[in-house]
Amino acid sequence: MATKEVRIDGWASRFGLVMAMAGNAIGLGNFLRFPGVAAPWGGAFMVPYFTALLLLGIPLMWIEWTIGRHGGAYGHGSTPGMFHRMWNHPISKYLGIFGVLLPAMIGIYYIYIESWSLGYAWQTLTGEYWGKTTRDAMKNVFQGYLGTSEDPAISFAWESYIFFLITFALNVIIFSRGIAKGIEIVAKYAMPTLLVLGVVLAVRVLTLPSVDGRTVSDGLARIWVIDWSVLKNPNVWIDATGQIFFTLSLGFGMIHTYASYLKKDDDITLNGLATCSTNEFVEVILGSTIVVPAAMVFFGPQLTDAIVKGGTFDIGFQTFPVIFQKLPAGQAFGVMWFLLLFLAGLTSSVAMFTPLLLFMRDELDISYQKSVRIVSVIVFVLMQPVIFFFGHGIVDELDYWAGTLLLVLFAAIEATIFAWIFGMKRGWEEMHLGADFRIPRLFYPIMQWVTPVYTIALLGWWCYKSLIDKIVMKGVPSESVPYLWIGRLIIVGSWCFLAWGVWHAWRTHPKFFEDGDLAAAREENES
Amino acid sequence: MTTGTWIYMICVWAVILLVNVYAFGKMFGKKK
Repeated sequence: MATKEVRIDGWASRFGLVMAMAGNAIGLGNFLRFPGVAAPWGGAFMVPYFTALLLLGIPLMWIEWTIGRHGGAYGHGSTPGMFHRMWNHPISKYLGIFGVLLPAMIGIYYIYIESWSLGYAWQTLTGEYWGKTTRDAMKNVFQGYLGTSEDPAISFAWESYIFFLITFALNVIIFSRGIAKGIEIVAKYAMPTLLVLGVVLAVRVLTLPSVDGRTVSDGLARIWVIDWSVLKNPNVWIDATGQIFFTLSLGFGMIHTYASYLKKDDDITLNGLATCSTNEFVEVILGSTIVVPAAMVFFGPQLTDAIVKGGTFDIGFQTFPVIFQKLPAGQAFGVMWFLLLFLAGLTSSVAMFTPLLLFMRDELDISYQKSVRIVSVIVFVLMQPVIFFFGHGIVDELDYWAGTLLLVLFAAIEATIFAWIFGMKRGWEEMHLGADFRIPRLFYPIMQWVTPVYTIALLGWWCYKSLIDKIVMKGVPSESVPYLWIGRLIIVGSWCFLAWGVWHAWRTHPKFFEDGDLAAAREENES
Repeated sequence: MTTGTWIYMICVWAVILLVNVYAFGKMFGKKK
């Protein structure tokens, strides 16, 4: 029975919890997105990056942990119920839908991208692309892998589909085993492995000899030498703030769900700090050391600029396979690189459907295993257009709405509800229940004013810059328009479905959502 | 990179490592 499952599952150890939280945050973005966003701005990027980390990233991390533990005490594992507990207003539960919708929408394409890492690990191990030593040659290999170069209407390649099926099955197996036996066990082994692989690769890059006079130091300079005049450009601030959101998985709703398993007096301040610090170790120390310095040594400054501007996929799947072919024992390092990306992706993707599963279990009263079966089928069906029409911009469309704009909207909503409606004084006290670490008082006004205003300002700027163009699909080739509508239909349709779920749950069991513990209320109702 | 930039980079890395050591040290050094 669902009420019993609420009690049984949970974190088996604190180390497991922190590794799962860090694994949730550490993803492909730490190794691929970060260098791609940071390097074009030079070292100036790090100034707004650390500013946003202190004013927005760490405070929001603590806020999300607090919302999650607070809601979890009432038996809510997802944000519709959590928001309702913090703000007793009819609209609050509908605002919370984003915390269920967004991670699931991102998971729909993230798992496919994650599967490429596994496929490329295999291709590197078997030497399938060995001998293709230019970026253009590797671009053809990549397009062939995805099937995007063969058929203009449908993108499909058997090999990539098989690795997608393996990755999807692995994700389902992990989250079907629940928190302690699934997600936590994977995180406890995958995260230390990821850290070791990352350190080995970083040391390998740092000890590269110079090539035609180009050194690793030239690459590090791209990340660390500050040109202060760049800071006058507002876009560097926007890019850096956006990166903080993505890298810490803020506004996704997943941190809330993980934290909902905590007891009322379990620490969240130190755990939240450890999650941030682990993520920053991987991003700033390992992420900045591997990609750009290696590209600089082997390709020089002009090509490195083109590579980082080419974005995540160019760096990971076209440039690095070329670099590995130039290294002694490159095949081994190549396998390590793609396994590193795969583990980073896996520890993030297993979290993405957890809010939806707990929403179904806690609010719709569907058993966890039945929820897993329903979600697996729905998600598998929704993934098919993403895979088959990949070359038509459907992923970009989903990524803009679910993976960018709505994340910030959701973060603005939660920061506002926490600081201005639930109340900062109450929130601060809630945050410090059972705390192993007293948050410096300076963060009180930051969480109360700076974090909500900063988030709302970021949202406003993004809307101003791109919303209208995006809505009218400016610059989109006419043949791609129907595919983009498919992406929008998936998001809107899923939101409507979840809104119906919320309406149904609150209408059918209004008593559960009054004062007191949800599970106890349920038992009383049933008796 | 200049010596100053190397020092700046190493200081940033050191701060991140120290926060990690503090957080995990406090977490697992404490008996609950």
